[in-house]
Amino acid sequence: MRLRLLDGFRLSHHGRDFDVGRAQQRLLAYLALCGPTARDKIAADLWPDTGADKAMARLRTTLWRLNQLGLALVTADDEALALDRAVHVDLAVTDRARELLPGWYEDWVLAERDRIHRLFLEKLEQLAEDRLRERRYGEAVEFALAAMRAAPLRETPHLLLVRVHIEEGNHCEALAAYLAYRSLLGAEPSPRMRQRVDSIATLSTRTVGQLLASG
Amino acid sequence: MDSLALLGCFGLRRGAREVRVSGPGQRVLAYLAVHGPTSRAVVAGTLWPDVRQERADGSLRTTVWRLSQDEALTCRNEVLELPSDIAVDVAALRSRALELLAGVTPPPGAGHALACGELLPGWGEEWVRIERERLHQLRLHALESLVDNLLAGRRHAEAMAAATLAVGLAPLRESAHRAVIAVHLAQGDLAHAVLHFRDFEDTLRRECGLVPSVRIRTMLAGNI
Repeated sequence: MRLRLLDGFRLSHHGRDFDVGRAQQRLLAYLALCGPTARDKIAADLWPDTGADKAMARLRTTLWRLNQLGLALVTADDEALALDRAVHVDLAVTDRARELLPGWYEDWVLAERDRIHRLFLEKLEQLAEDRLRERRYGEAVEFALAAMRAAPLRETPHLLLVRVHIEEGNHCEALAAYLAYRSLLGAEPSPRMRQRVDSIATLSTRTVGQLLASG
Repeated sequence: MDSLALLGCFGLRRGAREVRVSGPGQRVLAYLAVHGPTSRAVVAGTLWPDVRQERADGSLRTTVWRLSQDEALTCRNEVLELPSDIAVDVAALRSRALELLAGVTPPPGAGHALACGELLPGWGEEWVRIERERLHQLRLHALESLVDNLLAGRRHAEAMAAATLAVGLAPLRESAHRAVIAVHLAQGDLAHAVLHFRDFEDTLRRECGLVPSVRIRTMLAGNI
């Protein structure tokens, strides 16, 4: 069985998609993201606005409906519920932006969505760094700009771009990338970024100040 | 064949019919074409950044409804996506460029096939600017990689055409000029290689106040 939570909820078994009601979706997603959890905690997290008894009743109904699908999705002991080990949860971070359960605004989704987004950015930056080291500059720039479009104000992708341009000997493009980031920020980027620009300016006929004023 | 054009200017065709698309509709289709499947929340937040969330969601809902009437868009589980039968010119250009970057033996005219217009000229949003730069960089790297491959196959005339194209797209980019110089050197034309270097050196100093890198100097070691 396959449970996909990125780019929307989807449950499939042997290539067939199952229609799952919203409450059952929330229970499956909760167990996938939070791991085995005590029943009363689950009930309180999924139905925070109802009383404890009513929330427990809803949890029982939800479990019963889930069992109607005829798949052994959830294992239960006296206290806790867990996803069955046969359920494969796809949360793999790839080089394409995929959002965790878009349109869901529960607290236990939001924190995890942010974490997955951050992992995605770090993955792209690592790929850019790897390609830069291998001197595959075209791909390095691709990954740096892919990270930049996912988080335009974050410094690391801009710094990567400047570094690739410099390694390629493209000083003018490195300077332009630095100036574009500075104007986007409306402030001076960090010293580690400035150092890179200083390194190309040492070869210049103009001072760093003059170079940076040219943008 | 249904197609979406984003290079040069926006155009959506359904078979032989040109579909008229509103301004917001164009932005939603362009966004999905370059980013792939994306949630409503992200699309609304990116395309309507200056209004309150409910208002952005509402604008997006209206736009999505209109586009769905033209079957220009699908929505599943809160994720918006272009129908798979719409061919997007940017995607075709990117896949040609990525092939060249990977070093496939270039078919005749491979350089020319990269020389189409830039992404949505005149659109000023930050996400378009980044995407435009990404495509620009990919195209340049593909052309430079193409020059290497053509030189390895001793196809000098085609290599010069591709290198010249790269210089035309980015006149201050050193790696493009190195490609031109590499072709001159492969042809045994040291005089033109040196002349080209001098021209580039002057331009770079005049326009940016910068000097060429050690890479280009190494190519011409002892002659400049």
